[in-house]
Parts: sequence; structure tokens; C-alpha cells
Amino acid sequence: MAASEVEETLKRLQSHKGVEAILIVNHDGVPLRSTMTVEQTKKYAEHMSSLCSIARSAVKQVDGTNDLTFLRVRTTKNEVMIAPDKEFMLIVVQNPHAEDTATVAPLATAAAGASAFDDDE
Amino acid sequence: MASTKPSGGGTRRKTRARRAVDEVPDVPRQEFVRPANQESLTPAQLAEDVPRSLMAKDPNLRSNIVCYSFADNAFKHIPGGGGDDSVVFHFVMEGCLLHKDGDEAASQLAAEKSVREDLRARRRALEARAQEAGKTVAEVEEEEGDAGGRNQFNFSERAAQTYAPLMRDRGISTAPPETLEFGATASRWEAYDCYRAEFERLKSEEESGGLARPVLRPEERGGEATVHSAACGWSLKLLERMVVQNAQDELFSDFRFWEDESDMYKPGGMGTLLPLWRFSDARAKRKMVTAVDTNPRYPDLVAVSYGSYDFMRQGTGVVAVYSLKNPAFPEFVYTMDSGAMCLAFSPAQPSLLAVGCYDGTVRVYDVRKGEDRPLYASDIRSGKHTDPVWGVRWQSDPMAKDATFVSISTDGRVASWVLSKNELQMETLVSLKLVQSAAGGGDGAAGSGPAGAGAASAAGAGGAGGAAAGGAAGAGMVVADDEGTLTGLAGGCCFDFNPFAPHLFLVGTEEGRLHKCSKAYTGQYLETYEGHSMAVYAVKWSPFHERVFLTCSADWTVKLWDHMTPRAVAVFDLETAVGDVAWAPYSSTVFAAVAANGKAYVFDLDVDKHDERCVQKIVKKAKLTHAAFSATDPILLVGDSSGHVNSLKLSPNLRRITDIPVPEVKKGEAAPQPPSRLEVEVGKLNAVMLAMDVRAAVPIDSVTGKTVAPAKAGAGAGAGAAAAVP
Repeated sequence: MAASEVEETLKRLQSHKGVEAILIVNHDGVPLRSTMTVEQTKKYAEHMSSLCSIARSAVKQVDGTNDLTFLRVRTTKNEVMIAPDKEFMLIVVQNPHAEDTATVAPLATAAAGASAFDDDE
Repeated sequence: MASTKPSGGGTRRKTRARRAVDEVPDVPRQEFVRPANQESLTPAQLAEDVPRSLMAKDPNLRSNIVCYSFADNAFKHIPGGGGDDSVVFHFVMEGCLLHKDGDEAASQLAAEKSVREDLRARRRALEARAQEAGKTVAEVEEEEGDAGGRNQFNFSERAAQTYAPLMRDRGISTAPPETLEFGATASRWEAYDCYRAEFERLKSEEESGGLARPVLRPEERGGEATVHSAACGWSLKLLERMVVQNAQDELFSDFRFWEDESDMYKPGGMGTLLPLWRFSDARAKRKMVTAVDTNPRYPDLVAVSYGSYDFMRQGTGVVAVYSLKNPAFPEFVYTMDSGAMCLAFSPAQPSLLAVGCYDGTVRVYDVRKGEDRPLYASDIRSGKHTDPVWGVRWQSDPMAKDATFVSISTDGRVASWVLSKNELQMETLVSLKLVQSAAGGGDGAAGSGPAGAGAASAAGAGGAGGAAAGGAAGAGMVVADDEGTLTGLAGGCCFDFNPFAPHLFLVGTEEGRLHKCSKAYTGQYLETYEGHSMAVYAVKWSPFHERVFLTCSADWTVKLWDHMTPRAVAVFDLETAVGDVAWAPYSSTVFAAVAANGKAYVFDLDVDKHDERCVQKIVKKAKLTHAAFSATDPILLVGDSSGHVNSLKLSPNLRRITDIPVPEVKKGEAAPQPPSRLEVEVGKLNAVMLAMDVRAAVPIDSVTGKTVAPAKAGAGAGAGAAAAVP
């Protein structure tokens, strides 16, 4: 994947509905990219990485051949999605029920007699 | 303290003394502090004298010391209490006095005496000499010197001291070596991980890499490189899907779980289509969707080609591959100079995507690679069509070494392309000869001309050429021109290979005719059907029944055929030009048609042979161009002319799957095998066809056999009110 594609994906990710913050830290806990304030970044980096290692340990203890690929923590206010890796960790905080304009076409109500798509081109 | 006045002398003295003692402030006072637990003794006891004496001999010493003697190998009694240890010396002084009667004293006295006598003798000798010489004793002494003493003239004391080296302390302290604190936990799974990683590495060195999850390479560490690495990109991609799923939670739940309850109460088994997502891409705005295809191996991947059907307005083309898991953004996008008109995933190698373009070229993309370049692209040298390519289909020949696909174009050629090592090789399979119909059905003659690079592969092509024109054996079919000059080739619009007999394929032309051809015999059409009155837009074989196919056309009709009969079995008249028709993968009697008025029609012949089960307007202002069913999900994908692909969920009435009947067990016999799904479906469709047209059930001997009774007026579509006879 080219670097530009990665950048593009990052930008797109930020523009999705409800995404509050994106954070990338390397394996030492040093933040590489962050859209949060410095204190928040530090807090997230520290606590999420320890959560990750505990989760990974738990998964591995249960079945040694298994491994942790993703972690999703749903809280009352938002959802934190963590992609841990040996070299880095990707954290995205999203609140999918935030009241703001959606970037995808509005969904039709699932009543009988579904309406047609709006043709907005 | 009384302050007495000085009075008398004596008294004065006394008082002065007393005052002196009293008034000296520095004399420390002695204060006696008695500890609490001190023993208190009586005065008699206090006055008692306690004698203490010093003795040389230890009074506590025992007198019966026994010691083991190694010499005698026995315990020996040592009298006197142990020797030196038991004697304590309190004071020792070495004296220098000798007793005068002792030996030493006597020898000392004798030595002193001899020294005295010696001295006297010498003196007498000296005096005698002095007397002889007439000098004084002192002078003589001076002359002779002191023989026994020191030389007072040239005696010098010389002392020397060696050079004392200068002592210096020198030290060096080195900087401590760099230490790095390292900590790790070692548990069973970590050890397993290491072994596993090693094993994987060894295994991957043997085989070439596949679609494994990318791992960070060493040069990608650190800062920005980590962010831009493939591993991070992969995680980002997955996270984006998660984010989108969260954002469109309701849509995904509907996709999975929504079943329209009201379908149970609808009369006649009508159904609805629930709109879910709309796939679109910024790069494909204002382009029309020209083809939709689902990947055979990964049913959530959908490839969409964008181009333009408008002759006057042709632009660039885009092929986008979407995944149902991420409806917001396409997974892969390929751009090309001319509009993409058709595409197909290869069933044998699902990552290969063949695309046909408006300028007559074909391209093959490998979807696994992320780049925009095609794997193969045809150009003038390798041969290309001279008109837009309207359809591509892959050949699933297990014997062939290289993958092959076939394309059809309005220049009248059906060409096969071989993906050889570094280029595409084109071969014309069939040239669609233009035929004019007289009456009824019959055979048509098609000459395989020398057009294109290389001769057709089949033996029957050969020198047929013009002679075949005269050899038209069929009754009533007149070739447009004789003596083999190719006047014109029919423009092929669409084609499809029979899934049960891979050599057999159907071609739909711009003129509205349908031709049945065979790869094994490319010289002639096997059969020609009077299909439609306008261009045939799609022809699709049934995935279950080997004889049934559907066609749709711009003449507002959808026709159901049995390839043995020259006339359509059933005709469905829709209100406007039908863009595409697609069979459902789950039932042999369900198909969908999409029309230019933005409506989608779903038919279920098992339920109603004449009317649709669902008609629904999908888009407001655009025309619907193509439709495809998803292989595993209850989704219908419909592409329109405004560049969107709409995904619709089929309501339960439209998804009716007939149960496999449980065969009854007769007494005394073993339970027979239940019929397979294929058999059930085929039987169902047969029953339907039978009801529509009696001839549909007539058995035919060979595949190329002609129908028995030609030219029956009117396709008896039962009580069909919508039947239209061409």
C-alpha cells in the first residue's frame, strides 16, 4: 500500500460519521499521529496499551494458538476500537450515535413499501 | 544564703573563703541520681570490707586438666593446671642487675679488669716513650694518634641517601558502559509464538506470498515509516470497515435481520425490495453503470464497470471493486481511457477480472495487486475489436494451460483471448454473419472469415469460406449475399455460455436475433431464433436447467426460451426498454429484470406465470442498466445510469425456496435418497415450462437436433394475456 493511500484512508476515516479521534502510537508508546490533545493522547496511549497486553495475555492463556487481532471497547459515551500490532497500535474513538450529518445516503425506513433513492446527482 | 558583713580578721578570712566557694558558678555540682531498681544496702553492709587480691595464678583453675596426647595416643593428666595459659603475668620487667657472685658477674668483672689493665699498660708505654723522646705525653699522643680509635685526619663520615622517587597517585575512572534495561515476560504462549513465527517464516520462504496479513519490515520502523507501512494500512482498512459498520449500524442490522413481516399477508405472494446501500465513487460520477459482477469466491466483492452508453458523450472508464463490508468506499479502483462496457471475474482464478472497453480493447486486471495497471491489455498489435466490446466471459477449461476468455463486440466477432505469458493472444471464434429471415426458423450460415489474427481453432472453419454460403441447408433462410463476400457482420450485443454444455453458447445481436453457436463448430450457427424486434441486451442461461434461457431487449419484452424450440416459451411485456435480466441463484423460477424507467421487476414463475411478484421504482431520474444477484446474501444489486449501484434486500416472498420433498418410505424398502436441490429445481422449472408450452417437454435426441414441428404460430403461454408473438 502506498503511503498516499494510507494517508487517504486516514483522512477518510476522520470524516466518517461520529469519529471523534484517531491515535497511532508506536511500540514504545510514543504517539505518531494524534487528533487529540496532548494529555488525552498520553492517557489513551498508556491505558489502552496496558489493556491490550492484558487482553492479549488472556486470549493466549485460554488458547495458546490464538492471538488478539482487534479490540473494541463499547462505553456509554463512545466506542474505542484498537488495532494492536507488534510495532504500533491504532486507536479510533467513535460515537456512532452522534447527531451530525451523515456522509452516506440516508437510509429508507424499513416499513412496507420502501421509498426510492433520492437522485441527487 | 546569708550575706554576712565582714567583721574580724579571722572571721573575714573564713567568710571570704566561704564566699569564694559559694560564689564560683562554674563548679559543677554533683548530683546523685538513684536508679529505680538499685539495690539498697544497710549501712553495715556498706561498711563491710570486700577483700580483693591479685594473684598470679588463676584461682579458678582446675587442677585436674586432662589432655589428649597424640604421641602417646592417650589422655594424659597435666598437673599444675595447664601450663602457660593458666599463669597471668601482671608485671614483667627485664632487669639489668647481676648478682656479684654469679657467673656472669664474674666474667664481666674479669673483662672490665682486663680492659683496665690494658689501658694502664699502654699508658705506661706511652709515658716511657715520651720520657725517651723528651716530649710530653700529649705530644707523643698527637704524633702517634690514637691507634685504636678513629682516624681524625682523613676520616670522614659520608652518608648518602638514595633518591626517593616521587610518589604520585593516579587514577582513571571510565565511563560506565551503556546499559539498557530489558524486561520481558516469558510464558508458554510467548515461547509458542516464537516457534510459530519461525515456522511461518520458513514456510513462507518456500512458497510465494499470498494474501497474508502484512508484517512490518525492519526498514519500516520508526515514525512516519511505521504509519505508512503495509501493516498499518491493513489495520486502517479494517478499522475503517468497523467505523463504517458502526456508523451504519441500522443498515447492517437490516441487511442481516430485517424480514418484512407483511409479506405473509400480501395477496398473491407479492414482495418488496428494501433499499440498503448505494455504492458510488467520486471518480465515477456522471458515468453509467455498464456491468455488475460478483466474485465467485468472495461473495461480498462486487465489481462494477462505469462507462457510457451514449454514443456522443464518451469519457474515460472506471472499474471499481466494492465490498459489502465497507459500503462507503471502493476497495479497488482502476481507470482507463475509454469507457468500460463489461466485466467478468474468472471462476477459476477469482482474482482475475476481464474488462471490455468502448474502444474495442480488453484488459485483464489482477485484483490482488493494488496498482492501477492492468495485467494484460490488448492493443493494435495483439488484435482488438473495432467496435465496443459488449460482453466478456471466462472459459473454464481445466485442460487449458493458460486462462482464456471470450469477448463479443458489435463488429460481429466473437473472439477468444488467451492469457499467455506476456501478452494476450486473440483468436476469432465466430464471425457473426448477418442473416435475413424469410419465415420461421432455420439454420443460418456463417462464414468464419480471415478477420482477426489467426484462423479459428476448430477444424470446421477451414476453407468453408464462400462455399458455405451455398451450402445453406436449412429451409427458408437466405444469406444476404452469396459467394462468400462478407457484406456485413451482425453486431453482437451479448452472449452467454451454457453452464452444463460449455461448448454451447448463445449470442444476442443488435438486430434482435439470437444465435445458438458451438465452439466445436464455428462455421455455422446451430440455430437462429427470431428473438426480438430490437437489440437484445442480455441473454442468460438458467443456472439450474440446461435448456432454458432468458433474453431481454429494448423492445420492452423479456422472453423465456427453451433452446430446442424456435419460439419463445413465454413473453413478459414490461413498460419500457429492459436493460438487464438476471436469474436468482437460489431458485430456478425466480428472475429479476430492470428497466429504463427506474423500476425493478422480480418474477417468480412458480407462483405466477404472467405477472411480476414485485415491481418497484428504485431510482427517480435514472435508468436502471444492470442487475446481479448476490450468491450468498439475499441482495439484489442494481446499477443505474447515474453511476450508482443500489443494493436491495429481497423480501421473503421473493426468496421462496422450495423444500426438498421427503420421499415416502414404502414398507419393506430402504429409504430412497431424497432428490438433490438441482433435481428439485429442474423439476420445478420443467413443470412451469410445461404449463406454458407443451413443446417444452418434448425430448430431443441430440443437442443439435432440430425441432420437430416448425413454425407454430403463437407461443402458447397458457392463458397468457401478456403473450406477444413476434
